[in-house]
Amino acid sequence: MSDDIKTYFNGLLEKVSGLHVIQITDRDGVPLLRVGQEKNVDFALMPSFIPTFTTACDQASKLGLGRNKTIISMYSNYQVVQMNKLPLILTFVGAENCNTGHILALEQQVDGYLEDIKQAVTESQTHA
Amino acid sequence: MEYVHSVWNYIASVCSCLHCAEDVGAQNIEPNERTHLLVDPVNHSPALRRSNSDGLSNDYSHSLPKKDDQTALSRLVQNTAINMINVGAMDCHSLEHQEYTDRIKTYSQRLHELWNNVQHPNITRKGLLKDVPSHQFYITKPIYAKDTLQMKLFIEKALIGVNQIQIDHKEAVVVPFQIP
Amino acid sequence: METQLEKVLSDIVTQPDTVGALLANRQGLCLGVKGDINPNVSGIGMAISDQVAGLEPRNAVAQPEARHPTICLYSGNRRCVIQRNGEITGVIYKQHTSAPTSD
Repeated sequence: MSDDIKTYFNGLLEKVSGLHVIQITDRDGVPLLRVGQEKNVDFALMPSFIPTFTTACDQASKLGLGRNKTIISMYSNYQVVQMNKLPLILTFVGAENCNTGHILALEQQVDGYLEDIKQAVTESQTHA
Repeated sequence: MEYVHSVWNYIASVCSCLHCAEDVGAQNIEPNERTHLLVDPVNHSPALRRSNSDGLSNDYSHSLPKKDDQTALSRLVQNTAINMINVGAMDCHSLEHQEYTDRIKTYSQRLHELWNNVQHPNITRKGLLKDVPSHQFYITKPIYAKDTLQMKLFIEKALIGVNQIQIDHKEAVVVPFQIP
Repeated sequence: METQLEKVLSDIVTQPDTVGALLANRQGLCLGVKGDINPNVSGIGMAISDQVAGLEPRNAVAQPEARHPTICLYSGNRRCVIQRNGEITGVIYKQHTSAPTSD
């Protein structure tokens, strides 16, 4: 089963040209799943990068525009798209000219797969 | 003390009308940045730490007359602190290395269990033209000249439209903060 | 600000058989949308046009016009026309109300 999920995310990686890494972590940056060829994109996968997103997301939700869902960060060589799927954080790292709209469109597709992974992170799972 | 009370009254009035009701409801339903992750009682998850309002309410607890009032007020202060945009408090927390590796282990173990037990419903491979009943029909479709013409005109006009996009600001772009 | 763009989109959706139109920028993000079309299509539409442009990479050098193929996707009683022109990508959804005369 875990192979299926990996294959699925690897497929997504191939669909979007210029996308280097997809990573699923918990809120504090502890990785649950990572696919993709590592191309010096460690900066975005460092344990401190994702908690910072969580905090930024939390603060951005207070601006009166509703809950913050996605943060897109453009760097000179990379772009990082992070999605708030609490308790999970979905991180996409791609080239600067990568199709951001396509990455955003993946959101609905992966939702079904994330439901399973969420169970591993939440409290209720251990009681069940 | 009088000053503290007046501050609290002010916070209470702001907080109760804006946030409290909505916040209590929202926190119960969907997971947010502060909901617990694992049941582990020694959870060092940095996001779980409340802001410094805890300390504040404890310091002034002796000045408060009733227990009920005290809890209500400290909750107000806490909620206000939660709802306040505080970039200064965004210091970078990171997990202890030990907990980090522990959690990786826990998660991979759980995922392994989950994926062995749960049969995933979504795995249906969709192929090109597989969901189309009569693909021969579509293969013989021509490309209409009026479609391409319409598209050409659309793109040309849209390019002009996009190039005309500019921000016409009505107020000052840089606003000085009123710091005394 | 973007009134001109809004006008272009509104004009397009009033044309016969057209049900929706969308415009994407260089990043595949939606610049504007009108009619019955999901804004999420902007990224996918641009990805499709990029893939198709890759079918004939040599064309790009020989005749720059051919670098921007017009793509027509048929499904059910609708068709989707996509074209990329450098910075922007246009997507138009059309409907077969009557059998279109091939002209």
